[in-house]
Amino acid sequence: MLPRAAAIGLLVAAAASCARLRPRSHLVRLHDFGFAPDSLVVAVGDTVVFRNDDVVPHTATRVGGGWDSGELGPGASWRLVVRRPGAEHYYCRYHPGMRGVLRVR
Amino acid sequence: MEKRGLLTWSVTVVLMLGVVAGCRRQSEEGAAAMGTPAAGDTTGAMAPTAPPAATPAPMAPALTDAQIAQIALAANSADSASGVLAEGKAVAADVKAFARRMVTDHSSLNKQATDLAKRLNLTPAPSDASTDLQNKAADALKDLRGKTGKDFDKAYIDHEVAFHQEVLNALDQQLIPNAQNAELKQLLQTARMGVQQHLDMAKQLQSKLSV
Repeated sequence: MLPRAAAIGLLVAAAASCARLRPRSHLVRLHDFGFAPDSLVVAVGDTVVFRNDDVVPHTATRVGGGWDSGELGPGASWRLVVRRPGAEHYYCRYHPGMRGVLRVR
Repeated sequence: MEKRGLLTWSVTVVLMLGVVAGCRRQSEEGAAAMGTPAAGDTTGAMAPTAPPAATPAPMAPALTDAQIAQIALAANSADSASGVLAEGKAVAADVKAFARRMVTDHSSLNKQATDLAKRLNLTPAPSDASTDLQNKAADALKDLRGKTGKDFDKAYIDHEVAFHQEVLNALDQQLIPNAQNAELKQLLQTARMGVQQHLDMAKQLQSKLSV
């Protein structure tokens, strides 16, 4: 009886751990000349999709270089897989007042 | 004894309330007699010494959605036109880049406005405001054509700061408050965010050029 319960317990723990480790996908909308949300907590390995829902072209560009979506026309999207922990500040090269940050755990 | 005390106390309270209410009535009547309307008095009939109210200045009629659409189209076209000129004439790389952005953004906004007007079956209609905007834009373009080199860069950026500020004021005071259709209002609000961004960018360039 006990070994069976222990096995179930281990399985549940493994599943929970798996759920925690599975990379997630997050959406950042480029909308009304801004990023929404403009601050997002993600984990290493997660994917961030930048989708331009605005009426003009934009970019999502890391401050100081490293990654850049290139021009995203209205309706276009771009995926970024986050590789390093830390704060990733980004902006739109065309509209430098548009700013956001990914806080990578 | 206790009962009598309580009765006396109640009578005193009632009397005090009566005195207070009476004083308040008297004070209001006094105020009205002095030509000051009492609170809540909107008739003004008790103010014989007050000067006659000045005739209010005629208010500009509220803009219709069709007129708002025309103003939006005129503003976008005007800034695209000055941007096209500046793309060719500006000497500083960042002024050229700004001009290119103005052409791209205002052309995109114009396309959105045109598509929306079609979808809503809205025929843009002229108004004093759109005519005034078009005349001012034509004068500014003529003035810019006469300039070259760094003088052109400075004049173009000064114009962009003034133009975007004027459009921002129009959006806040006239266009957004008067827009009736929800989609038109939303597009104007999106455009407002863009105009604010452009204004900030132009101001930054203006500071840089004045150093």
